[in-house]
Amino acid sequence: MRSYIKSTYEYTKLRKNFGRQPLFQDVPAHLIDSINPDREEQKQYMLRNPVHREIQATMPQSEHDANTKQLIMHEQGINHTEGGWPRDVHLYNEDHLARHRRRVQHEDGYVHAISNLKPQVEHYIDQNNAIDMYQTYFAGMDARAPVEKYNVQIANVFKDTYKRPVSCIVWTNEKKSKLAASYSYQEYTADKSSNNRTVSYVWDVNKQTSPLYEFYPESSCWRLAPSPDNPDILVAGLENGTINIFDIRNNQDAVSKSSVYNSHKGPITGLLYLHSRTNSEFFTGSPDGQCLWWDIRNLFKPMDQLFMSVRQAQNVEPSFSTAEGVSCIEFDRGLPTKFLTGTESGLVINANRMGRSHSEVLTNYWNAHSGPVRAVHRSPCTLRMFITCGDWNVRIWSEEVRTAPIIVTRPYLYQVTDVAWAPLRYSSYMAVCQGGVFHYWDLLRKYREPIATLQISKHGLTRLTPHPEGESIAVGDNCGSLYLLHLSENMILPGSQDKHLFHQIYDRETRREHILDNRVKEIRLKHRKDDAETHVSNERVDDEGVVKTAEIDYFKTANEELNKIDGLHFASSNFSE
Amino acid sequence: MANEAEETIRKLSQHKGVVGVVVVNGEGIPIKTTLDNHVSVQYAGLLSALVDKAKSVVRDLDPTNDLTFLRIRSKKSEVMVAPDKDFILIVVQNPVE
Repeated sequence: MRSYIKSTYEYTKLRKNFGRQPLFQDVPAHLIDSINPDREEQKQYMLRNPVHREIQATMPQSEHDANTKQLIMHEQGINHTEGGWPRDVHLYNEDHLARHRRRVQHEDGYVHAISNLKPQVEHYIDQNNAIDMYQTYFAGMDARAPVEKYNVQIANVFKDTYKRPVSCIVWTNEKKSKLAASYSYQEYTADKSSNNRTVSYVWDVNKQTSPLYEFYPESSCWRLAPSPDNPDILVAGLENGTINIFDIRNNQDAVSKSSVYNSHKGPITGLLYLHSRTNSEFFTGSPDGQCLWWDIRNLFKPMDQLFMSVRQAQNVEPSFSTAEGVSCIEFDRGLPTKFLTGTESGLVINANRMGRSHSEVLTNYWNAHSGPVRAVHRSPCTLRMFITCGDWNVRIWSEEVRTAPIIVTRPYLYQVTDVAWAPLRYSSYMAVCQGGVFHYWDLLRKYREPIATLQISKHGLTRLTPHPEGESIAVGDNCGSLYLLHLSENMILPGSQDKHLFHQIYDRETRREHILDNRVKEIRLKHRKDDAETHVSNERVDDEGVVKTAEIDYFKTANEELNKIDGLHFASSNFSE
Repeated sequence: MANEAEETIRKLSQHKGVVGVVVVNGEGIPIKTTLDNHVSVQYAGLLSALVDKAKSVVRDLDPTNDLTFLRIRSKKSEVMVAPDKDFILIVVQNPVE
């Protein structure tokens, strides 16, 4: 940067150097001098006679001439039918014309001109012969659709000093979201002390060296939920089945806790806020088989309780013995009275809170996986479609189809631990697995394999939580590292037709399943009818007769074919001679 | 020397695609031509005026610049004009398909 050049000059001068200060005084007027007219001088002048005088008010003007370059002009006549032949050459006299032409051709100027101009002209003639310069280039080419490039990058890594596996990650509900992460060992070990360190962190996305806040739940935390209205309140579901509420601004210990007697009997595996006016209700699920509804203002005891038992006999009351352990829950604001749960036995249960009897509440279930269902999520595109993951598969289901998933992808090499829909992009979802790989699928673009995969960590990945605006994904692994991924824009935002096309996919797959289902039912019905009939009649098949007729038929057709071929041979051999 | 010029013009007119070559002097008369008289006179008259106009365009925009070559591409042919101090050399060529 150039130095600033001052355009002023400053100097100082002492006041005493200015001269004496003038001191003014107010005095009345007094005559200093008076000059009288000189009569002698006056006599030398006389008044002039008035004359007419014209004057004009104009702009001052001046005249100036200068020499410009001289242009030599001479007059020349031109015969407009044919160019400027000199005077002495008559147009109709061939000889004159030819003589004049020959004269000009012998001039030096002519020969030099030709030899100077020749290379240039030759170049252009050859150029024209070589290529057709003036054609429209690429006129015949069709426009190609732009290639979509998918990019997944690890933007940041947040490490836990104690290297505990990540059990839950949530984004807080504020403009500059923070990441709250809880860590716990979730495998059953005899050694209870491994979960002694219960500290959980809230990370600022830009600062990876140390967490923004730490908080200490009573026992190790399995699930977290951010409060929808207040970004400082966090609800934690713990291993001993209780709930702890934390206000992360204030202190590091729980602000309020639920009592062990009134909470779950197993660790909390599902914790979600409900849609209510006061934003203070949430519900939890646990492998002990019940779902409890709580009000955040009063954690003494739960507001409501439900046993998740679907496979009990007709008259048996639902109880702990018949209930299925809950491994994940799903709630969507669009369907405020319904929720989905995934169980440890691999079922997905559809529940309606407004049911009057137990069987009306737990409406139906799907046999989703062979192991615990690790995640259930409804699609942002259409609420009747949901995705589940568990064992080695990810499956997409429709509420209308009871028998089978509507979209199934190839099984993964490792167990799939978490799956999530892309929040803004209707046709995409992401999955993480035990091999440490992050898969991003887009069902509209590629059906058979993910469009992007990234090996994130050497250890297995445990949780996957996308930011509600889609561009950052938080992934946690088995060794306490929390990875923040950034996706390229074409993986975040939907295409213009995506929603419509994905709806079509959903409709088509649902219809396919319906048709298959109906067909299977028809076939079963038919078999049942057939079985009933065959018991009544006595049938004896005449095997011998059937074989005989078949033989006769065969030889007849074979002979016919042979005759046809012979005929052809015969005809062609005639021609060759 | 004049033979050289003759030779050059002949060779130019024998290039592939060339229909004709006309040399026009400063007064607009076709000095040497391989086309017939009527056509040459037309080319000479029309193109002299065009070359003058083109030259004045180039020099008006930038007085240090000068016209070196003029190509007029039409549907059926291409006219190439090389201006000189006193003469202009016109070549008419048909496009190669």
